[in-house]
Amino acid sequence: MGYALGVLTLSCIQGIAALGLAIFTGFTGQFSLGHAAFMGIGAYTAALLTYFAGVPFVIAVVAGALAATVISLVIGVPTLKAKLRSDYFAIAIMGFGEAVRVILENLQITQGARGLPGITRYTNLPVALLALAIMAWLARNFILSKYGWRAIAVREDPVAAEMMGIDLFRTKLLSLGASAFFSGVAGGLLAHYLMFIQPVMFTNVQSTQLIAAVVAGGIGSLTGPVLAAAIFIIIPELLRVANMWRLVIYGLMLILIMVFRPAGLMGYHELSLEWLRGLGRRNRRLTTNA
Amino acid sequence: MRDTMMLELRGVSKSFGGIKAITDLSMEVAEGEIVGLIGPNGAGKTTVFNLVTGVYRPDSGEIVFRGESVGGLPPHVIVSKGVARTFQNIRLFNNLSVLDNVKIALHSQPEYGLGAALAGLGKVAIENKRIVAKAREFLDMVGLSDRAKLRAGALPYGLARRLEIARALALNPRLLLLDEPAAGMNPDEIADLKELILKIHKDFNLTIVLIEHRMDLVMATCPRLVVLNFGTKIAEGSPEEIQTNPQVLQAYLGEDY
Ligand SMILES: Nc1ncnc2c1ncn2[C@@H]1O[C@H](COP(=O)(O)OP(=O)(O)O)[C@@H](O)[C@H]1O
Ligand SMILES: [Mg+2]
Repeated sequence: MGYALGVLTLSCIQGIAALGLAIFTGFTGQFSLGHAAFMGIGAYTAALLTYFAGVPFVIAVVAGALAATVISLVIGVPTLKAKLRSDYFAIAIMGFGEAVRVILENLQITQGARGLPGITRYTNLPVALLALAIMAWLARNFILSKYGWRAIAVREDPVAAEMMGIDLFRTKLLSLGASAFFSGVAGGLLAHYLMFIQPVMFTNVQSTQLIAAVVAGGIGSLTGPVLAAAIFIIIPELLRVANMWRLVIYGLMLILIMVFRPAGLMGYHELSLEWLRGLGRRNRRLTTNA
Repeated sequence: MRDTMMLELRGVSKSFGGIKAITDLSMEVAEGEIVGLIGPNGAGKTTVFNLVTGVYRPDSGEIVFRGESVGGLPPHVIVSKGVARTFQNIRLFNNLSVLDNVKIALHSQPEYGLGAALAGLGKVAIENKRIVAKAREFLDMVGLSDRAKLRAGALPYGLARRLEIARALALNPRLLLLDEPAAGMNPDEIADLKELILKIHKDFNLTIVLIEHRMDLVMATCPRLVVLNFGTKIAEGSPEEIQTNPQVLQAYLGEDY
């Protein structure tokens, strides 16, 4: 039972990070293979604050998220400005992810590659669920506001968006900052659940898992990526696969989703009763036609 | 400065690699005018729009919008000063609804900040509702209100062009640039488009530059024409003057004329 609760807790935490990347990739159309680094910054900042300074848990998590946001803006300003080369950012963020790992492995205070043990466990399933609910609510509010309209316009057609008077750079930067905040919150929660963090937890493998959740969950959806993030945590656990096979399982799951639902689990839709009813209707129609 | 000038190009040039798309072009558009910009394919008409809207930076020369030099400013800044355009190859947000296309054009109007948006304050919903109502008014104006929920990409050609005009109008422009709005339309649709152009010109106090190959539409809407060929202005005047201008005939009919 404790094990199942643990898997669910991790799913909620991963869901928060996936929400953040959904804003940046799913709604703003910008690709990132480095968001795990923002989780790492959130995790280490929050953990060091509770561990060394006795800062209250919630404040430490928020501080970690803010640190991730500030650093994301530092990366974003020069790279997102390169107007004609949208791949600048995608490449820079990969390098950035590696740089964060190297820094974490070589700093005294983070205790290098061996990792930081002895973090107090503040995160449990109710805390993670509550955090997921709050973050999902924030993400929804963002997407439904004029800030979300701008992001969606940039995703759909940057040239047309600019002709609508939308500042591409500011729109992308805002989405990046927001997504880094979500990643930072996820990192802070993770550190205080596992009670131990290590730089290797926040590398390309984790970044890939996040982007996979967003793509498989569906572009233009918040609930889809949360669902996919949970599936990507739960299925390998259920199958009890060895670590080396996990990436194979992810790849397989991605291929299956893309074959059967090319727009992702929930592309352009949100998980709701209405949607489920619609899904039922569509399936019935398919079967009666056949 | 003559305050009646909406747009002035002063000796503007632009080349792409070796191709001189625009060479030393000067032209003026007075406030309230409808000016036709015509010329053979590849003459540089669309490039003029791209320069005026900041898509391209001029290599040399000056672009003045309402007395202010705007050459090389980013598009969103120029748009916010009051320039709107449509595209020769229609650029709608195809995956979004017809209504959302216009809503996005109104993105700068809701009066709330990021904090209020994140907190989901009541005024956010109220403001968003106001914007939706406003967007519907623009759809009404171009006759698309019964298709508000349709995916924009599913619109037939003629209606897609009208939606693009509605979206441009929602930006509350002073100067509207229309790039071949009649392309792909049948004669009935072109007649409707003519009415629409004249109506919005009057109702919104607009200044319009119209790129168009359909001479019936140009003659019916533009009291003054500017003719481009190979990136330079070869003639300027009323439709009657242009129709009999030997250089224009040569440009359109070739050297053998
Ligand atoms: N982005 C670009 N890159 C290279 N060449 C371009 C570009 N835009 C326009 N041109 C060239 O500039 C010339 C004028 O094009 P354009 O302004 O589209 O003509 P028109 O709209 O009058 O048909 C053409 O020779 C075209 O190939
Ligand atoms: Mg053209």
